[in-house]
Amino acid sequence: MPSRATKRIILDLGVLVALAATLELALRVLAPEYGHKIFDNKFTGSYPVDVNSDGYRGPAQPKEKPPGQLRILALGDSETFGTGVPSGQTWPAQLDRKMKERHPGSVVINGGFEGVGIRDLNVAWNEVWRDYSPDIVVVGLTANMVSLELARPEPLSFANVVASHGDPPNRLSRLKLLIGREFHSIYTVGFISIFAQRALYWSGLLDHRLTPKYLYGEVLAYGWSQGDIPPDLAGKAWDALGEDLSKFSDQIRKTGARLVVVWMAPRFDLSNSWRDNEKNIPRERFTLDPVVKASAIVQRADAKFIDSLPYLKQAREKSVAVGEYRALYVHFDAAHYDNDGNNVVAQAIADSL
Amino acid sequence: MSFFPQLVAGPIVRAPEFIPQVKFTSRADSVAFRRGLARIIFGMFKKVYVADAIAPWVSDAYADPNRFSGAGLLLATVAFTTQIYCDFSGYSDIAIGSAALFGIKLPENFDAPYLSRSITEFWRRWHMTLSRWLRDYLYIPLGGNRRGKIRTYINLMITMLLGGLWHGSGWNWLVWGGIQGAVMSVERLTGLDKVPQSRTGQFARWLSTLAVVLVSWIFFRARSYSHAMLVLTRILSWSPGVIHTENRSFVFAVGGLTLVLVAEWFNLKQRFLAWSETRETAMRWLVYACMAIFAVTFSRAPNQEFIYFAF
Repeated sequence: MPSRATKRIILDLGVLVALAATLELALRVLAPEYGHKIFDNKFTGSYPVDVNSDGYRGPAQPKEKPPGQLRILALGDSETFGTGVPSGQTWPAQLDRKMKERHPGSVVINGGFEGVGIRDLNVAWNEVWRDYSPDIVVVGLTANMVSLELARPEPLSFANVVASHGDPPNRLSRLKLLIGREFHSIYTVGFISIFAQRALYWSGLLDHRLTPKYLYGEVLAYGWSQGDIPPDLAGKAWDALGEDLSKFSDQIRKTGARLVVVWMAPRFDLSNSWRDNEKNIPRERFTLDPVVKASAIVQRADAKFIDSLPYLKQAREKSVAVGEYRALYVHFDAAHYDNDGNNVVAQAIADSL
Repeated sequence: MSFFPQLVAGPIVRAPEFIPQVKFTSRADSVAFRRGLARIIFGMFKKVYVADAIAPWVSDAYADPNRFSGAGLLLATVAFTTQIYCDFSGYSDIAIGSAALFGIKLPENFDAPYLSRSITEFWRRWHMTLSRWLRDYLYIPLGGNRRGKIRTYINLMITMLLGGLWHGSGWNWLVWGGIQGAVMSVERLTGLDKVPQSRTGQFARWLSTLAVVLVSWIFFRARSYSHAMLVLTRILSWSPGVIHTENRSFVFAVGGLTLVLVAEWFNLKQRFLAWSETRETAMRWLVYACMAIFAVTFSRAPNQEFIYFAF
């Protein structure tokens, strides 16, 4: 016979399981967005990454450009790659559709990859993209790319970047991935993790401090003021970015193509509300305006500059005015654009080309 | 040595009060077990949700004081006052609570130190087992107060200076211990170590004691003597500079200390522990909830070590 304590624990566990099951059912009906929690090498926000045979996202294009085609190459990091959205909702895919309305012979290639910087784009251009002979190259510039200038001085080759979407090397890794997928397909996990993260940021247990040795993160681009980070570090990162962008621009202009750089505004720039600045980034610590910096280095690189922020703000205001609030960013990380956000960015680019 | 709960940072336990418990008297019953669990929960909350939340903001200001304003450094020091107390007393609560699960009673280490009305009283309430050790193994062997007034003051100074050096071998530690010894000697000389009768007098003494504690923590937190003097000078001269006082910092610094003082004034810990003894079902569910909350917290939050692990 089980003891009284054992019976009690079994009963408690039963109650806990019932509670969890009720929450899961409720979320599946009321908040389907919590189901898109799978982010791994094959899925992004539970949508297939669908990398094509040539290694990039979206339909593969022949290297040889057909006569009369207006070829636009979209380069950048996860904002361009489309983290958290299906490949048809990325800004390059939406730009492709918009451009086809004006120039039926146009094509936009999505050459974005997660976690790359301008230096990596420079390498990828020489290794791969130059052969595609684009007429226009549009770079989605993000704050992370500024940090990468200092965090990762050695550029990644295109092959290395593509390999990150390959299959795990051994059985154990594959098993881990499988379990991770099953676990993250539970809506309750998404619900708990997103609110736990918010609570940790708001309590200060998670913050935005930069680690001096590993300068990853978007806040450095804003001249983040931190005791153990030299005050001129952000300036150095921007200077390095400026140099790399100028080199990149030179390479592109040699082929006769035009360079356009779009500042991909992060969500916390839209407003300081709890909803947009959900990671509670203290703006008081910012010492510079990244748009001013980006605009200056893009001009020096003899390229065209587009700031996405006014377009995003306008779209948000419009949506609020008609009573249909649009987040413009995916639900899980509040950092990457959702379908609406990508549409706004694509429209901003299309209007400027 | 193998009794893990208090091995790393106390409370400092003497063999005569510990070994007999292990050999003969330790007995874990359900009431002591619940009380132990409640104490662990209380300690964890102090450490994880108060001390660790404050830590980055304090580190930030103390990393480069030259960039921070006097106000910013003062706020950081107030925040550190809360951080070190919640960190160390949180650890002690976890240690005492863990020992209680095995039926072992460890001595108390803190008794509302920030409510003290003199530094003499502060040391009767702060890291009590270290104070007891210093008294029994340094102050009394040196002669204590049995060899005249002057010798008493000298003994107090030697004890507290060595207490400072026990924490680290820098001039800042010596100054930290020296401040304690000097103020205790002055209190003894002037009778300020006695609790005044009037409420106003008690309030004034409490405030001045807290101010001394605050200044002494600057020497405790700083990397070196010169670093501590830089912080102190910038605070006293109200230097201009950055104030990393996003609203949260201000809340952490002033709100945290207020929270500690209110909790101690109303003796919330003892009330909670007494409540836990009789609430079996509620405690069980509280433990489940805390396990879930801590699991989520630890899966994401960066690891902050206990300050006293360094000593």
